Amino acid sequence: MKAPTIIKSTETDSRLFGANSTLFLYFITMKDLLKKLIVFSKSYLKSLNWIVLLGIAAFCIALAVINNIRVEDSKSVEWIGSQEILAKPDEVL
Amino acid sequence: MKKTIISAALLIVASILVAIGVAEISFPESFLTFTDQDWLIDIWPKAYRYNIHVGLAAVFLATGICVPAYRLQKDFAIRALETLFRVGIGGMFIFASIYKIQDPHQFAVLVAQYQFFPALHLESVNNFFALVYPQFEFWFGLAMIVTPFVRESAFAIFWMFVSFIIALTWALGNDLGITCGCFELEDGDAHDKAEAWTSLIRDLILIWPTLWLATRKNHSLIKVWKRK
Repeated sequence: MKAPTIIKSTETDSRLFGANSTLFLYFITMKDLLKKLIVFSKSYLKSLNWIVLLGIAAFCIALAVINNIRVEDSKSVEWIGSQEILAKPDEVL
Repeated sequence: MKKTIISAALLIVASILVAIGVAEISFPESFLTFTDQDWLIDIWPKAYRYNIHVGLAAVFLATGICVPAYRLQKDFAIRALETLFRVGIGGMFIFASIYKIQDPHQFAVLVAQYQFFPALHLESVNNFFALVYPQFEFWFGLAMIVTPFVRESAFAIFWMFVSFIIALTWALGNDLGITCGCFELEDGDAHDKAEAWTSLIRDLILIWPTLWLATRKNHSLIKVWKRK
């Protein structure tokens, strides 16, 4: 029994683009590049030592809290909130 | 041996040029700045206007000099460049963070001027961001120099550069008329748009070596030179 023909995505794309082969090639190249980039990004993210990264980040947050308590009142800020937006200077150089 | 010496000499020249370039772009009145020298201004009074041009030319020239240094002694050049980038970028982040850590309020005021968080409906995050971000700069900068975790620290610094680029582009796009606030705090309503441009150019240049460092193997600076 003859196996059913599987239409690959590239063939479908080719039919879609028809005679515009340059655009088709560009699309295929970009698609391949994007796929490679995604694979590379995933393997790169897996290769990182997340314990170190998150450890330093947690340490930074702890130190930020301590620093805000340590500095004098005029230099400390409220934990949650924003600051006043000052008037834009008349003349921006 | 002879090749290594020539390669080292070329890299030293390239480092000096990069230092001059950074000084020209970011620190117009430092001792490394060439365009605000009195003798030059006496001859050519408008010389100080060309600090960005001179800075960029110095950086491009330094990049050009790295090519023969790399071709002469590939292994040595890579080790030297990794060391220079780690110390340079890490040191820059440590230096940039110190005044922000000392005065969180002033930095929070500066961050608020970007008006970025209100646009995202996240006004309440402003102060906490201003508290934590300088700590990230300091500790990831330090980690890049003194620990073997170059990939992790460069990864974090890379995303900090991305955030700087987004913030500066936002400020310039909305014509906010604010300074970068990268290395010194001003009164919050500072007015020189050119500084935001120079900071953007600097960040767009420095993000590439950071990206390269993020792909290096984890080694301490000593092991970079010891490994075979």
